[in-house]
Amino acid sequence: MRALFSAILVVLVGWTLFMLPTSRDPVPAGKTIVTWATDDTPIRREQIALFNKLNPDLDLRIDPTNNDPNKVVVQSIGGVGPDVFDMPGTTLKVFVDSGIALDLTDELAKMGYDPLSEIWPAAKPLFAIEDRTYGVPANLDTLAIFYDRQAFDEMKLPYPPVNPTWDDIIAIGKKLTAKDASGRTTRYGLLFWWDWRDFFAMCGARLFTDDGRKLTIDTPEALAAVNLMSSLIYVHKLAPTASESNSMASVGGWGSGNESRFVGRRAAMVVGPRYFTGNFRRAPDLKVGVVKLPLSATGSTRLKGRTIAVNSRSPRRAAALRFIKFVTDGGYNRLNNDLADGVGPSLKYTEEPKFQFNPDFPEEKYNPIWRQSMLAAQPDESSPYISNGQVDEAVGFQLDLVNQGIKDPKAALAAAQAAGEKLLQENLAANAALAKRYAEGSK
Amino acid sequence: MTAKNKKRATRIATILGLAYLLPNLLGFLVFTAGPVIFSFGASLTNWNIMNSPPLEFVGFRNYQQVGQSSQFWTFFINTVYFMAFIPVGIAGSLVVALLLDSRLRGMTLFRTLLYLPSFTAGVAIMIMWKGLYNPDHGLINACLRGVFDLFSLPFQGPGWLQSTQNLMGLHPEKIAFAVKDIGLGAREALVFMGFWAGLGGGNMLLYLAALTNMPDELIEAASLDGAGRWAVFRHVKWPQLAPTTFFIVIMSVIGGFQGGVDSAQVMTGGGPAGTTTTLAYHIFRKSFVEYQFGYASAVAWVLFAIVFAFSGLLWKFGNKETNY
Repeated sequence: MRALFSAILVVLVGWTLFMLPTSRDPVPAGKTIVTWATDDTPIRREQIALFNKLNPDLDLRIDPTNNDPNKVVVQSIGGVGPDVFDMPGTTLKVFVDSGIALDLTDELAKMGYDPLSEIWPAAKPLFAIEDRTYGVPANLDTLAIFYDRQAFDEMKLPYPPVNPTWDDIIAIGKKLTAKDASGRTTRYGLLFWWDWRDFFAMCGARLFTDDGRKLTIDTPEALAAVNLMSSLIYVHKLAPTASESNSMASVGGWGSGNESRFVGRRAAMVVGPRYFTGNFRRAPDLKVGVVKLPLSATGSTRLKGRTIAVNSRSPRRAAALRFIKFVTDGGYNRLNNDLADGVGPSLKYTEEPKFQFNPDFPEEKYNPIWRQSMLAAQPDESSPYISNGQVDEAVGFQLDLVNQGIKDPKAALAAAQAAGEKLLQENLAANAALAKRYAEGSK
Repeated sequence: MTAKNKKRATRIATILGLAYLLPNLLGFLVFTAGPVIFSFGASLTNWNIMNSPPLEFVGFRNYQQVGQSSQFWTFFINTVYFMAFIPVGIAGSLVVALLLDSRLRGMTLFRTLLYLPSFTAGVAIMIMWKGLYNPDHGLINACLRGVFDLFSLPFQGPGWLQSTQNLMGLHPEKIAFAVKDIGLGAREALVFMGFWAGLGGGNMLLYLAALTNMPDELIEAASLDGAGRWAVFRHVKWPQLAPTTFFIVIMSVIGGFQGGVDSAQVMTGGGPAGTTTTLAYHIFRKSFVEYQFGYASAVAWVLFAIVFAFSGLLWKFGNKETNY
């Protein structure tokens, strides 16, 4: 028996040693592999193909399974992080505080690239803290309303105006909502994400005071935002309830959710970012129009985007910086704009005639609307004293109760305000340096 | 063999034995014992992976905060609420095992069908149940509506995954009860799904194995003495199953305290209003969403203490009823 087990041990060790070289990723001769933690989309593959073509000594690969911010942080601290990674939304501070995002200020200056004059002005909080730059946006986006021209034509309805009001959208949406004999909605008038931040921005509701020291989520503007969001579903019945959306959803991601429902003709209009266009192009029968999102006098659309940063612990820093240079160049920006992955990081390429009207996509006559919407978009607010996750927790909890009709929006927002303030005070109690900064009143 | 050779052979056997154990031992030390000790150290610090605030030793402050946190107690109640249905699940598994222990044609097919959810991807099952629970168009409410229509009764279906209502009337915002909060909501939705998935799972297999290994003579003797089916079960099978039941209860309690992460992540996000957030999901969120590793480690150790205490109590009192 001992001989048998010893033989098995020898075989296993021998087999392991034999297989070990095959377990490594094959590195093409003369090439350096650069890993980018990002999502895997057809657009991303085209961007990578262009980079690899322009940089034959590098082999850029994506790591889509590890592009979640917490995975990037944990892996990078463990020394096995990607070379470059995406920082979604306003997560910049998270990566800077943890020392993972490399300060690119001097490197970009050496490349002759001035991010503050080149990149869309409102995007600064996504890539810079004070005068230091930590990344370049991979793309930027904002929201507008797509409409299905065929649905309008079938109903002999005029297309919505370029600058509609919510009254316009509600009236049109009601006409376009269709039900079957059993009362089940076969086509919704309007789809949108159940995201209170979108509606706060549209209605001009602020989250914080200017110095970030106090939350302001119980204001009349905030109340208007919550009322609008829930009335579209429960009063006007234009959009699916959260549970309907939830049960229709898969696990989210590119090409799923509202955009696929719109392609499947389950809705006549959908609030979405420009990157939806990529999916719509794959449905040749779908004819789409775009109008601006209705905004209040002080409202704005949200600026959304992903910023590419270099891992400060990457052993392939030089190669990673070449990728950053690529993202700042015209080739990448034009490709991004053509592929409709939002818009490229540099503003100036959207001034070119090919962006205004791309002959490859003659049906898309609405790119100027995207440019105007982008110029009016604003990034999410943030405060050094409370994280966005904590604000989401406080507001989301209360909106769950509003969503069920067991709490009225005003009381819910007041409770969210109180809960948020409590979390802020707890943060101060746990961090003496933060408390000192708070006391000094500087943001 | 001389005494010297015998001693040498023993020593070689010992060394070889240890060598065989070494890979497992190393794995245990590096991947289990090490992190466990490390997490206790972390729980005594304000460790936040974002370096904000700077790392410092805070003693038992995290534990104090855990005790004072209303969130922790709410999520503890959620966890206990889910666990309250463990006996029902165990009873269901036992009933299924008893049915499958019959000598009928096609029993292998029934066993396979009942075990099917156990080897189906959990996420796929959860997505399927999300559709079933749709309050307006889901199959469950459609069936309920049909039953109500049959008796011409008005129907207001449960909100399932979108509802904070529950069978005990627990209030979503504070630790209190209210009649208006009684109903079927997200908690029950997860419980029913768990019951369905677990019915023909591991517990059923354990019971089935125990029933299969039970000596036939005992049952035959009882039958000859005039015992009916219930009497045979109550006085012969049930006592014989006691060790298996004890094992299942211990494992279910441990699993219950550690559970709820997958379903919360895939189906509810811990909501609505935190009603499906269990302690394990709370730990996950505190560490990997809010990056408060020090605090999350403290919660994990408190959870460990609770599991240890419950297991100890079960061992002390439950063990007496078994045949060990």
